[in-house]
Amino acid sequence: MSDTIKEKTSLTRRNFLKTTAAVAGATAISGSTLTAFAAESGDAGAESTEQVYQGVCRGNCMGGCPLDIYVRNGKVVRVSASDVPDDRYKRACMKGLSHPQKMYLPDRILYPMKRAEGTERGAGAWERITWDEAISTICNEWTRLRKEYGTGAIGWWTQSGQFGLLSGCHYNGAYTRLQNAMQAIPISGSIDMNYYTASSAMFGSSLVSQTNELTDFANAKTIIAWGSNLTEAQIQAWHFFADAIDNGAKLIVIDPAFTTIASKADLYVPLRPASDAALALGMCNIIIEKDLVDWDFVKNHSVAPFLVKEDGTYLRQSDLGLGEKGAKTDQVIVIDAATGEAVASSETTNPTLEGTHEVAGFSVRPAFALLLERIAEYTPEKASELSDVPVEVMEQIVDLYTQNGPASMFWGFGQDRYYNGHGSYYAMGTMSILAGNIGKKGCSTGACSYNSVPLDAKLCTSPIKAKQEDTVGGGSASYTAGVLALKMAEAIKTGTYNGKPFVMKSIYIHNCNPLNYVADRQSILHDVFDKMELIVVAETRPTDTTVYADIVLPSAHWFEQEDFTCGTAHLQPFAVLQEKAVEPMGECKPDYEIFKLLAEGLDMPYVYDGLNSEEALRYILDTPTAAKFGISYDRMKKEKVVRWLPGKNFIFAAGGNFTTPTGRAQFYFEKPVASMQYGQTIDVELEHLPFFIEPSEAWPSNPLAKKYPLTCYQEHTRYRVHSNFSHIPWLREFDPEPTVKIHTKDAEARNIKSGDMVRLFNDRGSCTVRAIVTEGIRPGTVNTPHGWQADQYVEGHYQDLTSRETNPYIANSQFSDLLVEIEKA
Amino acid sequence: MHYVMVIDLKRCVGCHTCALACKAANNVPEGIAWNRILTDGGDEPDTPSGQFPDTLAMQYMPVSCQHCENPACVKVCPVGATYRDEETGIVRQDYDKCIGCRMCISACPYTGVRSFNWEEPKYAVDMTFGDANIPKHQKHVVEKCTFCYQRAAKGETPACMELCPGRARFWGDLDDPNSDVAKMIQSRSYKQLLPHEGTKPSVYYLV
Repeated sequence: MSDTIKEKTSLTRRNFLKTTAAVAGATAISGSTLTAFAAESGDAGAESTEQVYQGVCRGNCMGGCPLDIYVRNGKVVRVSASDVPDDRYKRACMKGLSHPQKMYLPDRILYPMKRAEGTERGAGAWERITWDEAISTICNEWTRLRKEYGTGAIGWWTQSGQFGLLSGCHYNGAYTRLQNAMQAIPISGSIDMNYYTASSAMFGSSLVSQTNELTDFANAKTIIAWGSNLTEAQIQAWHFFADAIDNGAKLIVIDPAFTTIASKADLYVPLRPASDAALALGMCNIIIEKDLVDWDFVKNHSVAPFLVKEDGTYLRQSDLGLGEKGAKTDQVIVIDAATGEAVASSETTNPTLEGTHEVAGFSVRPAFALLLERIAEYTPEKASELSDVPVEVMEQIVDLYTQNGPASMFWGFGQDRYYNGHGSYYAMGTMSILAGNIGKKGCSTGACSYNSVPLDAKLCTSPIKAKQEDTVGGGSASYTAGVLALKMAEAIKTGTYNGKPFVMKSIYIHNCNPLNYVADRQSILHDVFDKMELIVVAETRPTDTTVYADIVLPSAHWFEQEDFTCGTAHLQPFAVLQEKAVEPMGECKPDYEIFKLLAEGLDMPYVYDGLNSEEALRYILDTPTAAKFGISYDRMKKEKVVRWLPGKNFIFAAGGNFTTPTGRAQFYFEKPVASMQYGQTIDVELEHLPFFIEPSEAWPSNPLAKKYPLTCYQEHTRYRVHSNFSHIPWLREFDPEPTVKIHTKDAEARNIKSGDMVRLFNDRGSCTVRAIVTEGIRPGTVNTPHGWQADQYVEGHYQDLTSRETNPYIANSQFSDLLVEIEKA
Repeated sequence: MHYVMVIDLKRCVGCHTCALACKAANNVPEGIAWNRILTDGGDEPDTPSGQFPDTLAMQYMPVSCQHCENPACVKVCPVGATYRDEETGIVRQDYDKCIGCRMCISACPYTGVRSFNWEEPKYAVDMTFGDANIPKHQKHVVEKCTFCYQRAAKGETPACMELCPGRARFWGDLDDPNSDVAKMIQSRSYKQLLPHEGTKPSVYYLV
């Protein structure tokens, strides 16, 4: 920039007047009778004393920020980042700081509501009811449905709204007690599953999955951020990368969009969307051709030397008549390169990686030989053609990644959102295995995810008192396996799921907004919601989902209750106590209290046994399991923020020891099994090894691309967490309305200028948003942010565009495997 | 004492945390921003200059009152409502004295750091957020960043400096050679906005 700020053409200014108008409009739409206004007088007694409480912002942005909550006159007036045991993890962002406004906006849902008599779902007419009426209506109806159709008639839907252990969606959350006792069917949103399934299959899971602790990124000399816009979606992770750059590290960013982190990169690599696997496999071939392989790591810490039989399984000691089949001690056999003997994998450090061998009558090949055969097709030239990344750039990346170590790779969720997403991660992980860049200081690969402090899962998820005999019985689908949201439309229509009868008549929804985040929203609405006899949603404010509920229950805000968080989906190593800072507004109740009321209404008081929040937390935290990590309720009460992750710089798979079934990093998968079973068939041969296949929709060779030529992905911007924080005026001043970024050339071809209202459409649906014409996006692609709610669109919804198709191997929402066309609205 | 702000543009990712911290701590009315995060790049926020894919460039630039040592605004204020507090180096305003003539807005070379309350200040929520001892916002008064005077005067951290997620923002006493800010300005390249205006800003941008 020049040194003159008056040169406004080189700077961008927000139009605040426009902002204000947009916010006002949105409020008007959402301010139906669902919202009960709380008229509050101004805070005149400003000089009165302030109390400070411990809080924690706990959405699914991966921040998990411990916050100090300042209360004056019984109201939360501001928050700030708490001091924490390690300053590098001190954290808060503008979303966390916006909680005070969020808590007291007039759109808070303050009372139980039912859809007004004689009105259709979605009409927006509501009647205030008492808690007694709400709970008895729900429980009477559920009891009737359970008797008539079996326990599976009730679906239970939660996702990632907040990660409190009592009121949140934590996988060991208190809600699981009631869900399990009722044998309600969990509805699986199936999001990010390509990443989680693929990375766990390759590297196993640990206290941090699957990277080193964020603090360790400062030790890297090369960092590849691949499909990750962490400067927007995981703001708190960025400064660890900035520290590395300050220390001289090179940053490579691989992303179709010129994201903020791309603007900080030494090398920006704009690949074709969904070509990640081809690019990675091409680079694997360069690593092998140039002999840049870390042979010690590959031979001794990966499955490379493991001998594979013709049936695809490993040759084990039991096949040779040594040891018991299926026993943990039944080692895989390798060929010792020096002696040519077949030996147990632990007996040589120099195994053969090549050839076909005959051992005890079995024809076997090392997994590495199978890998070479699989990836041979992806020469650098072929990879370049598919990914649109020049061979020289691939060589440059390989050179930095293998020669300028320590080197780390940080995976995002960009490549997850395609039909071929898990293949992308397999290929990227294989590149890391070949380079040996895992399990060392400054070396890790994956999307960083700090897991929960280990808790006693059975204690967390089972009824408090011994489970009593459920007299209803029956059930149409397994309540333990759950049902895939993307397949519910078919299941309801056909009455079968995974080959078994399927009947669902009611859904309970909390800590999530499915009509915002589930692909092919119109289908969910018409083929699922419309078929339900009772939809109940617990929420703090109106959402895309509450609009279609029959009963809405007012959830307390996060700061209006006691709760506990412990790492899940949060990139920090702390357990944090949420203190109750203020009384719930109106008649709001913590979700935990709502679960208790429902359990009592269903005549299942034993599920929670009346425990209050402190008793419930003590029940889980004052246990030997939690004590191993230094956690107890009393310690939480005293220290508020406690580091549970052992050590100070956690290294994932330190020393090359992995928690996979083989104890090694895996690029070969012995017995591929689909992540969810719904009667589909999988291509076992394909799933044994890394692969590139075309995505199902967003690829140039798809005939549909003639009609809808633009690949549409949906960035997670810094201004909201999914649909959370969507209607906060402070934030909407920065980011007033839904937009789409489109490349200059694509815009010119359609006579679109920045600021124009444009319509994105395909055969499934449309949405109308403001155009931003930019050079900072790959031509042929458009980017419309995720999380805006229906009332914020002039027309349509971004999830009206997306597809319910999913890869049969890993059930996952492929939001960006999506073609659209754009026209001026 | 001379309070200054140092902002490391290499670390700033435009997350707007400092902008919201300012707004929340000072109960800044709807539609008013004392601390804006500008994009130094394309014509729209969050877009780069240059051409895809090889010459793209983008940087964020947080801009608020520069708290100049030689402030243009002070010279033109006819009623002495805007003045430099010599004890802290903070350029202050007395809302009660301000007659709303907006001469200071015209004189200030840093466009947009000041705003004028044409109407009674509006709020989405009818309660006072932020610090306990902030002055009430008034109609027909010019507003701008106060360097969180309610805090700075007590040696407390201004809201925008409480926590920058990118660790890009620093503040302190430039007169103290041992302060972080003094050391940074000694050791790093920096720029200031419109140096030829002779205003001597107290905001330093590390480049």
